[in-house]
Amino acid sequence: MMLSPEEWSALLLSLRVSLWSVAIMLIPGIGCAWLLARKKFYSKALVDAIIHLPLVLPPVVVGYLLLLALGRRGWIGHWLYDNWGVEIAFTWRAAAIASAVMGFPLLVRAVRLAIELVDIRIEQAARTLGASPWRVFLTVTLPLSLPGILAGVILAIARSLGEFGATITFAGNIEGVTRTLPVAIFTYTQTPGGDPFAMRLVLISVVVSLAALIVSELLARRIQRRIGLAS
Amino acid sequence: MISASINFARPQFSLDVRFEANARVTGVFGPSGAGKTTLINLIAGLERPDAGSIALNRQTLFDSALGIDTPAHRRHLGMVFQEHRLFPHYSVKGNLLYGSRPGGEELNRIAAILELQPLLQRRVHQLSGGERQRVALGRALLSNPQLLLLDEPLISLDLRLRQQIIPYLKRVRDTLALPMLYVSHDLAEILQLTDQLLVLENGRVAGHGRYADLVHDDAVLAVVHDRGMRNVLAARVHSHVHGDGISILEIGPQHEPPLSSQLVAPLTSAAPGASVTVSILPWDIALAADIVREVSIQNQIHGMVTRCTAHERSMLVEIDIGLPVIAEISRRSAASLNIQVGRPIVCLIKSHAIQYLDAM
Repeated sequence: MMLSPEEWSALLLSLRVSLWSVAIMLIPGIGCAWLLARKKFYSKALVDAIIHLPLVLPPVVVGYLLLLALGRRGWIGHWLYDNWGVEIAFTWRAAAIASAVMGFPLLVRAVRLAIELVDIRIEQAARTLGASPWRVFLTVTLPLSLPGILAGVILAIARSLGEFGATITFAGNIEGVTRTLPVAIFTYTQTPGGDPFAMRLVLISVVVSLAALIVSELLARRIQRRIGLAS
Repeated sequence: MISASINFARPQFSLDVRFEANARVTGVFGPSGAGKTTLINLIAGLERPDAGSIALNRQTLFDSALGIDTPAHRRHLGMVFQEHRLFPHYSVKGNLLYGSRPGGEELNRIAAILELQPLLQRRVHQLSGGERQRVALGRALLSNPQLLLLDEPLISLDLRLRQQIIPYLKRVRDTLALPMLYVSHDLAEILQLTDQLLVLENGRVAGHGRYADLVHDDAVLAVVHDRGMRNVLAARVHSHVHGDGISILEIGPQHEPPLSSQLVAPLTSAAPGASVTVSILPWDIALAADIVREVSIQNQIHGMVTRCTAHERSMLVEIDIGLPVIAEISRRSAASLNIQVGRPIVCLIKSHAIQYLDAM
């Protein structure tokens, strides 16, 4: 199946946006997951609720809040533009940020679960061997939760490939700039005679998502063998 | 030297102990729930006392009054846990080297002592239970600790495997200048490594000192008596008498023949000259004023009463037969034999009352 330039542009943009969204949220996501899994603190329930908010809010609301904060006149966006000349809203960066915010709770949930499953007694053993908390995290907790982190990343990428509401509100629908696969599908369905084009993009979406799932499954098996969890 | 004065209270349990341990190996003995593991975790810094102080070789690790609480990773203590707690994502070698510090023991030396060389490239899940504990021991030793904490390291192994690990522990004790706290609820296990005991019960120290002295104390006896109280003796195989199904053992200092005694024991597979460890229950030792003629009992050993204490139901008599053994007899027998310190006595021990503790 040959793809038209518009289809290629939507597919590549979607992939770029999803990879960047994961890149943005991976480290903060693992950090939050570790805090929630391993630490007791006063406002834990509140932090947990805030992290999960994008999961329950309508995506349009998230997109609108992002626009209020990061738009050219928003309180962060305005500062960014005045000092650095950086524009976020209605660029591909906005699509990546929207995806990151929407995927964040999924990533944190998966990683938190994985960290909770790491035997805390093995971490204790590492401490008695002289490992600082950082070293324990990097050499024991992180490698042993790798399968869960991978699952979280795949989940976040999949969520990002399907992100629509927050993206269209915060990044808009600009061909070649912010028109990701779902936004492109939506656009074709709104265009007379666009149904065949929409179908082609639907097919592409299915293939890409399936490929991501299969690759993640293969990777997870390999990691599990490597860290000795599977016999 | 480790000195500790610890208060630690939890809703279901409280620990309140004070001791100073100087011995090469101090056995921490007590029934389950006595607070042994908690004590070890507090010393290691894995849990925090409510109040008190812990010092190792005059260096304060914890002091609630001074606000000192050295984190676990800076305490330089080696620990072997009930479960192996090896890193599943590292090879055996990776595990061994995880905590190694410059200036510490070398991998090759420790691997030789614990016979780990053939295992170095293996993954943890390819090891047997006994091998895992040996690797865990090696890993702790390679972290160059000032004190080795062993928390029931053999409890997850079956009886036969336990006896295979003990020789390695003895080798570590004898080749490395490293003090150890060895926790166990199995007295026979501890007595194979040391005669210095710290006896815990209900979160309190019931007694601390040499085993043969401690058993005369009512509080310690109450803990020890029905929990495997026994004499554990190091012996050497002298010869076998296959036709009679017996082996002749020598106990006592090897180079002082007048003090060493011979024991007739069940036949062992250990070769003449080999070291074995035997166990004799105190109530399996009978006492007589003199050698008894025409009796089935094979062992009649001359000794001298060095200590005796009357308890509720019985009399504990410590006899020097070249090394101290404890016999338990009824108070009535003690009175009729006129048992008192300094009295020469003959210990009667049936050969089948002698049990071998080590299979090797």
